[in-house]
Order: sequence, then structure tokens, then C-alpha cells
Amino acid sequence: MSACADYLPLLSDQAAGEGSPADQARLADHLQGCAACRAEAEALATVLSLAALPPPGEAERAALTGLAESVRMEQRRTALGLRPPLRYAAALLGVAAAVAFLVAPAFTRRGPTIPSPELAMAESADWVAPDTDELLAASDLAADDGATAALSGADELALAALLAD
Amino acid sequence: MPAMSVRDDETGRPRLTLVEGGRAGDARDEDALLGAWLVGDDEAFGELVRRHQPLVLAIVRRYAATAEDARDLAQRTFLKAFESARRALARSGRDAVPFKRWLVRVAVNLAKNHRRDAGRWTSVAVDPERLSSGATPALEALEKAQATARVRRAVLDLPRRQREVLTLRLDAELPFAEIGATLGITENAAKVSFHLAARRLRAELGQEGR
Repeated sequence: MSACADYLPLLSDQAAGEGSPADQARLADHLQGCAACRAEAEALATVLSLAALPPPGEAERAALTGLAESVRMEQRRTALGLRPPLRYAAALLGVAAAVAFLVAPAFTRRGPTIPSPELAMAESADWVAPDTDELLAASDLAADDGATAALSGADELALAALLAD
Repeated sequence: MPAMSVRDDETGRPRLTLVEGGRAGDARDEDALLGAWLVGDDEAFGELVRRHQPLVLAIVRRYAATAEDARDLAQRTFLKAFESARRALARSGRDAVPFKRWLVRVAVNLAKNHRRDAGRWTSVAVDPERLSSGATPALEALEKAQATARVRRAVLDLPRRQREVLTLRLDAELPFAEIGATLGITENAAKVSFHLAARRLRAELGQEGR
């Protein structure tokens, strides 16, 4: 047997603790003669009492100690930091830096330069062969006079045989 | 006209009772406190937090895993609500949304986003003394604990609007008119959502009994 559909909203209001005095009186009259609605009223009261939380315990109340002060400190900390317009400016600056980092190589990177054939020809026309004596004098080889003197007797013989060939 | 929860002497179950006034106090006082806070009055700020912290705790604790978790949510709620209120007052002046409504909106949203697990209230401790004191009370206690856990889990699984209305009514003890104004719906729509939520929970409990 289900509760009367017309009285369901009033039953909910009663379970919630609301409802006009007139509605409450009308419902009370109805409940006297309707077992199904009485059962529904009892079931709603039961389920809402199960759904309701117990009152806050000592630990919960204690955890809120000093809440106002910590909220105020957090507010001040935020206020001392960057204000919103500056925050936006800083964010924009960061984005600009990131974009620059990504794009800059495209403008600054240079590959190996290959001269045009015409330029290579012009440069080769002006080329003057270097003086080998000057180059030798400038190098360390000319100064290494003792290099051959250090050859052993066997080495000298081998060198003479090589030159004879 | 806000409601207040008291325990029924006969059944020991909490029941909702309407009382005059409300937790948040007089709205004109609140305007004065907000005005004082905006010009840097720390006392007014502290009074606003102290006045509303039970309400904020009542909303967020269902979704918090620990007491510290609830405190963290409460702190974030106040920070965000003050920031929103400051902007709204600068923009709309006296026509801005009341501070309490900002708080409730922010708390509901933060709590919803915070719901990383089922919350600590979805498991209910059973008193060991009752379990060992006799077969019938032990069984009853166990069954009640199971039913409670199941219903509280079902509360978190309700459709968003139904969950918001039900918890603002049960946990924050707000009247339907205030719930409607906070959520941007009519008082009647809030009542309908509550009705649907209660019916859904009732069905959940009925399924367990089978």
C-alpha cells in the first residue's frame, strides 16, 4: 500500500521541518486515518535521520581554532604578493619569453655558407701561391734540425738503401 | 526563518525544528561589518569569520576526510568568499549579493570539487559494548550502522541539485527560501528537489532492507 500522492509533498515538508501551520494541520488530520501515509512519514523521518550527520565533535571544533587569524594572514600574504594586473603582466612576460625561445633560433641559426660560383671564380683569380720557404721557416719543422741526427746507425743504413732504390 | 536541529527525546533521532532568527545574525549588522572590513577593520573581519564558521563547517564537513581537511576547506571558503564579496561590492555596492550567500555558494562549490573520496561519514562506527551486550541490540546496532553508511553514501551520489538542496537543509539548516535564493532557484523548486532526494534515499534504504 503506497502513500497518497496528494500528500507526498506535505510529508516531505513535514520531514524537513517546514510547512505552513494550515498544511501541517491538514496533514495531521489525514494521517489519523491513513496508515500508508503514516508509514511513509515514519520512513522519511528515519531515512533523513540516517542521512543527517552527528553534531561536530571536539576535534572538529578545535580544528577551527584561530581560523579567523589564519584567513587574515593568508589574505595579507596574497595581498603582499603580486596584485592581479601585475600577475597578468608577469604571465604575459612569461609567455612572450617562451615564444621568443621557440622562435629565435629560426632567425639566428645560420647553416654552412656556400659561395656562389661567380664569387669563387673571382677569389681564385686573385689567389697567389704562398712561398714554401717562408712557410717552412715559419713552421716548427725547420727548427727541428736534430731530428735526423737522432737516427740510429741501422736507421741510417735503411734510409741509404731506400734512397739508392 | 532558519531551522535548528534538536534530538527527539523519545527516539534519540535528530529532528528539524524551526526557530526564529538564525545563525548568521542580523543582516544590517553584517552590512556594517562588511563595510568596516572593506576599510581595513580587522575586528570586523574576525567577527565575520567567527560568526559564519559554524555554518561553513556544517556545509563542508560532509565532504572532508578529516577535521584538518574540513578546516582547510573552511579557510579556502572564507578566502574566496571575501574576494568575491569585495569585487561584488565594488561593482554593485549595496545591491550586491549578501555575504552569507557568497559563503554558502563558495562552500558548496568547493566541497563538491573537493570530493576526492567518499568522505569520513560514509562509514559509521559501531559501539563495541553494544555489540557484546546481547544478540538483538548488537544486530540492531550493526544493521543501523550499515543503513547509515549506505544512506550517507547515497547522499553523495544524488544528482547535484538534489544533493545541494538536501545537504543545505540537513547540514546547514537553511530554510528552503534561503536555499532557493542561494542556488538561484525558486523556493518551490528547492522543496521539489528536497522531496525527490528524500524519495531517492528512501528507495535506497528500502532496497537494503530486502
